[in-house]
Amino acid sequence: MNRSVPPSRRSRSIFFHRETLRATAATANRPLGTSGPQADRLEREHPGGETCMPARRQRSTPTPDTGYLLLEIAVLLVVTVPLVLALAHAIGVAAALRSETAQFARGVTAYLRTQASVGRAIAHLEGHRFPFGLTVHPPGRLHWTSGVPHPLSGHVALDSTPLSALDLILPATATITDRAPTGELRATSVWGESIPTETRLFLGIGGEHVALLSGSARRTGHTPLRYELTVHVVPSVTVPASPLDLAAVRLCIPVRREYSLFVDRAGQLRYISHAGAATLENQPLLRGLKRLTFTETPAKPTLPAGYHATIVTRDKRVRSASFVPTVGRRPLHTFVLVRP
Amino acid sequence: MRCSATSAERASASLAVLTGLAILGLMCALIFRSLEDITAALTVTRGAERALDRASHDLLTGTTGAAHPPGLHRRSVERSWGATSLRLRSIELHGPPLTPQSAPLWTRNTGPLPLFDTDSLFATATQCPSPSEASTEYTPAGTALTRNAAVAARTCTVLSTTPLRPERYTENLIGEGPFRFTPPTTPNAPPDIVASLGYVELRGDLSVNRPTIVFAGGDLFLHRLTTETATTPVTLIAATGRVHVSSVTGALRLRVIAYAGAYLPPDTTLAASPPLPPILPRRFLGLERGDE
Repeated sequence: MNRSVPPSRRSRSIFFHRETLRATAATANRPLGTSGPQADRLEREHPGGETCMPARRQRSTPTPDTGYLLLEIAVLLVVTVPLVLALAHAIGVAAALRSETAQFARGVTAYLRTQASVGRAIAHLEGHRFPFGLTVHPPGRLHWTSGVPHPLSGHVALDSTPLSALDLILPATATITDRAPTGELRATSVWGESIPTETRLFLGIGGEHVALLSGSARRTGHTPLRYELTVHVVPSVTVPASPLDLAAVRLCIPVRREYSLFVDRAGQLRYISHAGAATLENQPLLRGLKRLTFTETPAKPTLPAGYHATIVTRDKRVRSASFVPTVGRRPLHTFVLVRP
Repeated sequence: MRCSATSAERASASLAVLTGLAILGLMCALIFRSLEDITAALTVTRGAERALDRASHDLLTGTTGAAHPPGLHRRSVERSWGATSLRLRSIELHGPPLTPQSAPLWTRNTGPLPLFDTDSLFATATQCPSPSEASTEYTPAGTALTRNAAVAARTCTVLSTTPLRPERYTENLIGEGPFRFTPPTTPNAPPDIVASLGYVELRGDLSVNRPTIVFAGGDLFLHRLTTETATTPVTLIAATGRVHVSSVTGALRLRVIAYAGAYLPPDTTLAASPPLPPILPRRFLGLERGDE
């Protein structure tokens, strides 16, 4: 008890002031725990200081400090609660905005990728001038040009329109010079460009008839480039069905690929690569699509054909894109009469 | 104790405010970043479309410049937008230069044929009233066709009772002749053109009395070619096959253009002046992307 306490520490101690004690004692009209000489002694030992009385004595008697504390807490609550609520709301709004923006960004990304895929398919039309090469199928159906449904037709979303494209390697065109007794077609490169060894599809042209041929090309000579083609007619999703006999084939153009794009029933943009009746690839390109439809504007004498795509992403936003191939179509005979 | 608790509360409140503001700032930054990405993607797409349009326009409307030898050629145009560049190539087929001094007879040995403008030649094709299915190896009269020469899938037969008019057919043409083309009513009238996308076989006599062109996409077989007037110019063309004329009589100035050779009577003289169908210096076949 005799140790010295710094004034600052003392002022914040848990003991009461002596004046407070005295006032309390006087009010209660009963002696303090210390009185008379004992009080004087305490006064001497702790001049102007505190007495060591427990704080619990205070509980029974509220003071002005308690009210002040309550008022301060109330003011603090009044100030803090709206601030916290406003902050929480702002965070909620920002999170919702962020989510909306992310969804919008996903939608735009899906739109741009779909537009790029469709644009590439339509750009194949610029690689040649034949009056075919792109097929817009009816909604929910994928079929051969003969009208027979494709085996994967049941996977197409009912309100989506499949699109099929043909990618030709025109410079590697070969002219049929002869037919071997075993049935192979003997061909010579028209412009000296070789047929890629991995080629398994060909476009056969004879008169005004065309057909998709499946098979392989074996090189038999180098100057000029000569080939022996073992091929047969197969169904196609882009080449018009016509009664072309192999004996009537005059020109063979290697096909890089024939494929279809459509939205399946799981909302995925799907790529199907065809090899006649067989399916070489069947893979999703992207998710997040709800619908993809195409409309075709037929060519007019002064205007080329146009294609209009409507792309609905998962966020139900409807976006559209138009494609107009730069190269116009020409009758088949303009190419049939070409010879090296 | 009161003063200590108030400070802690104030500190925690300040911390909460600062944290909230930081989160808000982060959200805003992310949102702006997303919008920036979308704007950049749209800008790139638009830039690509514009570059492609300009390149296509340059290729389709540009001139070829120097003369090219006959055959397949590519012309490239390169356009760039930002850090991306695009190369677009046109595939073109060039025909041989055609001058009055050119040889009047083309065969496999003398060089490539000119590029006939079959677009305009067959723009007004005649509808055959009763076409029949065609063989790819023989004519109905049993004449063997040149292997690989163009053959139409159907044949149109013109009987001697119906006059053969100078018309264009998308079918093979069989004429049961004789046929006679009358002289022109006006001095500068264009030549008569009888054209077929497949083979042409006229079994009767063909009498021409004015400038005439007989164009066959495949083989051309004539039994007898004659004229009643002086120095009538006649051009016979077999674009992918051979020309075969059994007999030539009268003062004809004859020009023959055949891919697989010409078989004419031995004393036939040829000339370079007879008329030609429309000919293209080059034919545009398509476009190639540089990235493919």
